[in-house]
Amino acid sequence: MKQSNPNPIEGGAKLGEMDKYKVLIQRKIQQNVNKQLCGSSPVELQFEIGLMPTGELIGNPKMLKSSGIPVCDESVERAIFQSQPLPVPTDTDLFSKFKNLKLNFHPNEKI
Amino acid sequence: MKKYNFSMLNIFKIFISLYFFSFIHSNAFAIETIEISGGGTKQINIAVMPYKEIALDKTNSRMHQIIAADLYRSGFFRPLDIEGLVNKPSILSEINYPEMTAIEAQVMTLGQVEINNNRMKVNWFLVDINKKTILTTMEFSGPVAQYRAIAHKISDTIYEKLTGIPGVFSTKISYISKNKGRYSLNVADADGFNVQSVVGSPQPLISARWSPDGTKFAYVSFEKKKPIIYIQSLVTGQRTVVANFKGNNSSPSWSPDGRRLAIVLTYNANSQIYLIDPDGSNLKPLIQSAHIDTEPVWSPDGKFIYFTSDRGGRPQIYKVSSSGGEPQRVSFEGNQNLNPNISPDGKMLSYVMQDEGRFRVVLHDLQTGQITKITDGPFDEAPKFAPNGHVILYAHKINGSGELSTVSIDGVVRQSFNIHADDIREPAWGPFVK
Repeated sequence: MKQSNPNPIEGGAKLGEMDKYKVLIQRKIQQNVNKQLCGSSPVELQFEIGLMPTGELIGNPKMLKSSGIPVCDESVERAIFQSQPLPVPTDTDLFSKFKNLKLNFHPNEKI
Repeated sequence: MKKYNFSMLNIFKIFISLYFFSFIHSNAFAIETIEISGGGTKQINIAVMPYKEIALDKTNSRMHQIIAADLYRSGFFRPLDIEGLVNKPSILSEINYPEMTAIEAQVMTLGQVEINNNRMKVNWFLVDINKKTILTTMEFSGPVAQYRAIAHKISDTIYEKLTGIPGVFSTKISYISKNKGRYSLNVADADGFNVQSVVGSPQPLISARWSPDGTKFAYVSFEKKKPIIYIQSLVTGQRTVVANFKGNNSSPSWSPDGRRLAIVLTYNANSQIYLIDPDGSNLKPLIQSAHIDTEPVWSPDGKFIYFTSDRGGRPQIYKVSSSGGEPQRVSFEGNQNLNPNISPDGKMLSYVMQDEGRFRVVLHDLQTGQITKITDGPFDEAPKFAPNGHVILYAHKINGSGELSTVSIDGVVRQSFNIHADDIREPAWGPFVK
């Protein structure tokens, strides 16, 4: 059984690190999403991915929610592939939280 | 002091609560979720490999060059530079996936061409580099003279597979050229090749419009020293007069079902819009005004006609029911707006806006009213939507003479055709041919 970290400051720093990597991953994938193929109305997609410590995908992304537009689904999946290696923490503790990720896409949302 | 009762039940309860305590803190089962909004890329990276072949087409283009040029021009694809690669596979077993991933290819096309007795056969593949799967594989064959047509068919198939939109690479365009004082109405492939003259004249030709079935042109000729509207069959070459009324006859526009034409006559005085049958009968005014009303264009459902009018002072775009009535103004930005054209789905207009001195092609979303400027000018004119609505053909003027250009509707890719003539004007895009 894992001991929870008794030091609140270090726990807070770990949370900050997690957010940092989440933002890095979000930015890298977002850059590769081609929303030209996703129509003009708001759509939502969800994928689940498995990652190696190198940031490479384990297997193919698993689509949990389709946009309803096949070429849009394919385009977002390509964006995920294209973003390898994803920036993941080198710290093994922290990496364990990134081994599996859910990615929610809103390609037609204005950022 | 109370004695603690270390019964088995209490020990069990303690272990359970400790377990859940560390469970919550280690997040052993929660999966992190990342929200990703928007998208920063506009194109699909494709590696277009030279197809293995022994013969070339007359212009010495090879299949992969025609395909790469088609896909690039559409705006949806970025054909990658493969010239420096040592390995250029033409069959699946030759593909080096890590090498393709290293150049950031997402998909690739490769194939082989066989020529026998003036007939050719192309076996080609479209491959997903990430998943290492075949997306499409086909065999196209035909006479060697169809070399470019077969390349365009491959482009159409690749384009439609990856975008879900029908490709326009096998369609035709038209334009009017002036060369050494002579005018010609020309038809060409959508990439500007295989130019053929349909009408030649020492006097100006203007306003050529394809019939909805792609078999005829309506156009205006000054060969009798005044503008007269003709219809000419591309199949038989035969020509009939549609309108030769007193004054000017111009600006023919086919109704979506091909049964009527909207035209502009100065019969009574100033330019006014009339409706007429293709055989020249059943003339009737659409709207009557004391102003210049011109450049009519039908909506794809046949219910409305958009046109240019100076009734507000300067030329602006208006819309009226095709059965007549009170016109409504449509364009409000810029100094003046003209040359209207409507997308095949009826949702967008394209026209020329004079904006701070420049004449630029704009897109006008009819549902939201949003205007997007997609060319820079300074003298762009006559925009025409491709039959799939995703590319616009227009004339771009440089030093007084026009050149033919296309722009993808997101404004990402703009290209000019290399056509040798003194002046190129009035492009038009032919329909899909069934």
